[in-house]
Amino acid sequence: MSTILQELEATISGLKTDTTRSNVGTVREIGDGVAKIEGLSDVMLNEMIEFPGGLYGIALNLEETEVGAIIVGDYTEIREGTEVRTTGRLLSVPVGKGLLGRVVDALGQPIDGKGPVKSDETYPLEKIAPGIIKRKSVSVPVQTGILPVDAMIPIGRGQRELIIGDRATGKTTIAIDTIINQARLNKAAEEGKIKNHKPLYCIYVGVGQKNMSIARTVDVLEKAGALAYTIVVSAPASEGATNLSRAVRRRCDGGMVHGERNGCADRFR
Amino acid sequence: MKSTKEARKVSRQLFRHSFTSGKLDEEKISHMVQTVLATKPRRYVDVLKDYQRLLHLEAEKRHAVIESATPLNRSLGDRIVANLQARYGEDLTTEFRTNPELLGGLRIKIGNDVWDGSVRNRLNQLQEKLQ
Repeated sequence: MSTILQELEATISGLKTDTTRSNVGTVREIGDGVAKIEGLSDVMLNEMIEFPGGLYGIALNLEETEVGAIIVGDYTEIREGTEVRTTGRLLSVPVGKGLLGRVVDALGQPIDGKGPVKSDETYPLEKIAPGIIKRKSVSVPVQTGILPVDAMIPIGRGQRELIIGDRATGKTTIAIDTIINQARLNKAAEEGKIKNHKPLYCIYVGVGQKNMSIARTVDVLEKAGALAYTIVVSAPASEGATNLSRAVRRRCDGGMVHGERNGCADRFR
Repeated sequence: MKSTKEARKVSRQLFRHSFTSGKLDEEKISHMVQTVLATKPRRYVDVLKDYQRLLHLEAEKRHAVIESATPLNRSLGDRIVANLQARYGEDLTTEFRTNPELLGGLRIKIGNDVWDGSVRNRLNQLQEKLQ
């Protein structure tokens, strides 16, 4: 009991508040998740702007007297004249292996009801991708597990591959099957059945899809035991345009961190 | 209606010429407004509206709003004004407001900068730290 009291005392004595200086601005115009803000003279490009009610925006357009910002989240509560303030932080998202097996939204917040994401590391959302010189050339194949693809049009780690086709012809199925096959290979490597195999983690980003489709995909991955090697980023059609664009970025960031750590920035792009 | 790009450009030009040794010159401003009204160039209403907005923003930089939960007594108010004027210059104008939501302490806003020493702000900080 005394230890708990001591801990509480230490926490309370560590809590200090002070007069704060902040840079503020006023919303002049708002529409479609984009706000024009007057003031904010100290704002940085891509800095997070705090709106009342725990909402955040990103400063994207800096002009002489006003700032153009996109709002992340529900912008319908924001009115003309609302006071906002700078935070001094660039928009960043949690990254790392703690996200594996999780379903997150465009900002890396978990939406699968499995509690908070166990990740201490964050990564700025807007970051210039490493140049071509820094990247390792494609040398390791990705086994999709689909024989015609692997035989006729093999793909490699670090390569970008576009799957085009009419609707309901199985584009997503190819991607999901590939993810499941990677999980199978990763498991086999863990059991020592395959040598010199670096695990390949997959990130599935559902942009502008129905919640139902994403839930079904998650279910398929879970049943196949592939979810533990996969991160699912969900930006359904019901989200704002801001979140949809962020989701694509988010996917890149999640992958880039793994890639950079392995010395090959291109691996997961 | 939203001002056009052209009107904003003209108003910015007017604004740049409104200063004498770094401070807004009332004579110059009034002369320019009179000239615009007399010549009535294209979209002059938009130009004047945008010009007014720029002047308002500039004037705000030299205006301090001091908010407190209860009305401040005269001596304290004078001391705050004297301190602010010593820091920002004699031409700083001040305005006192009462805002019970602050619960206690002071909140001073000059231009885009806010110094918040109110009890409400401290409570918010504590809430953030304890979350």
